[in-house]
Amino acid sequence: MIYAENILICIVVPLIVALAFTKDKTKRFIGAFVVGMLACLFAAYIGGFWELKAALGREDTSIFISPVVEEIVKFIPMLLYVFMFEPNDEELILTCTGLGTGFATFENLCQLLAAGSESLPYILIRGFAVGIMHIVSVLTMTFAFIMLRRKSALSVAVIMGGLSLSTSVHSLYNLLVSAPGLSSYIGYVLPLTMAVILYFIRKRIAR
Amino acid sequence: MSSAIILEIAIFTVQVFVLIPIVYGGIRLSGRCRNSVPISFFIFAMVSYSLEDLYWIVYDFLRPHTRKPFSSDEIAKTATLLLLGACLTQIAHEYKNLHIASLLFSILFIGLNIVLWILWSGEWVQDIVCSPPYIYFLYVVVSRTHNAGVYKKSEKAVAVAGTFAVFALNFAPIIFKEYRVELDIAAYVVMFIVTGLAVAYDYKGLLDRDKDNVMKALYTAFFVFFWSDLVLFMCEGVWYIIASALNILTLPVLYFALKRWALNDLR
Repeated sequence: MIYAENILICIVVPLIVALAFTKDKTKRFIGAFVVGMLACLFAAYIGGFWELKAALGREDTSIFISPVVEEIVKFIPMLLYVFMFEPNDEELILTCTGLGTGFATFENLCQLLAAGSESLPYILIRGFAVGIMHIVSVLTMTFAFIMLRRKSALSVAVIMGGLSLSTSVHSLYNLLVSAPGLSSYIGYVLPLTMAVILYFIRKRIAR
Repeated sequence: MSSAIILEIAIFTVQVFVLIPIVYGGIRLSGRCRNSVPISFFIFAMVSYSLEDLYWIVYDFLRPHTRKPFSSDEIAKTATLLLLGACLTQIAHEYKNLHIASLLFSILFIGLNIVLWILWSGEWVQDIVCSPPYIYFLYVVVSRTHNAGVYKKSEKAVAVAGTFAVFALNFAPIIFKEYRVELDIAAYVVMFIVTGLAVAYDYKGLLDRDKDNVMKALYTAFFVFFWSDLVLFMCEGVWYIIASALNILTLPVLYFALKRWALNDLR
């Protein structure tokens, strides 16, 4: 049992203070990072609620419920940011990277405090697979937004379709890593592979 | 692992292998045509569809014979339908006005399907929650088809009669419980005859190189894909495998009809 709220306060307070002394891009990134951590806590509350409500085990919750809840919770601040502040492409990528990184960092932090940090393979998996997964799913949505906005093709159906697509990838990842053996290795490689693909898409967008 | 599960894995694997060249072809096509937005939506829709298959395959391998408390692959299907709907909206962008009759028809038609799904599965929350993308997709196809006026009255009459026959036979066992087995077999036979004819009509539309039939072939491809997908929900066991095979047959038509539209490829 860990007290996630206490951990959040401990991490967020210096960052909030730092916001007062930073400007422009740094400020935006730190702000998004904090929102990402808050989103992670919120997702944990909702996931926990459904775990009890649907009387599912922890593994079933992580396979069936968590991907849906986490993607929606990450998506809402992103959507609000896009429609309220109308950021340009660079601002959007920066903010969403902060959002995904904050989410992944806080989740990793809580998991490591709960499970311990002695095992190096476990640390590597958490860092390279689970951590990257959240950044990848947010950035996938971000690049989709940018491309659709450029072509004036943004609609509710497309936004919801994109969200469903990122949720499906997340669900597949969680399912793959739920059992030991070959499937979990495929699962661990999936986020890193997608990160490499996204890197090239990012370069193409910049052009 | 039972033979039914092995068959299921096999058919989904085939579907993934059919979808890979379609996605690849879509990527190449997006670079060759002038309006790449609908093609992009189509590519993402097909990626979502393959994710649904991959999810099933992995699930069948890791957790055979266990029921999903919440069907995550349904989310991938939702993405497929929404993105295909968006694809058609971009193609037929001139028909933007709301068409009330098409909307009511879509709600009623999917509503009837939901009733059947609930009767079979008992998962009423999930069935209702997942219905809006189906209504959206059907509305887009029906309203665009109506506005474009591509179908003759006789073609519409045959489609309505076939649909009515399938629905009537699926609802009949609820009333005539003593003839359940016979009615179930009759329902499957009629459903597969109707679906088989629809798939044949789909291919006929694609092979017809008449310039005026480009849009008709495209709309038919969307309709038949959707119908074959609904048929999947009405099947189990071996019937499900046959329905999946018919569904796979509709995928290349969808791609080639779109390609024909995108490149205005008329010979």
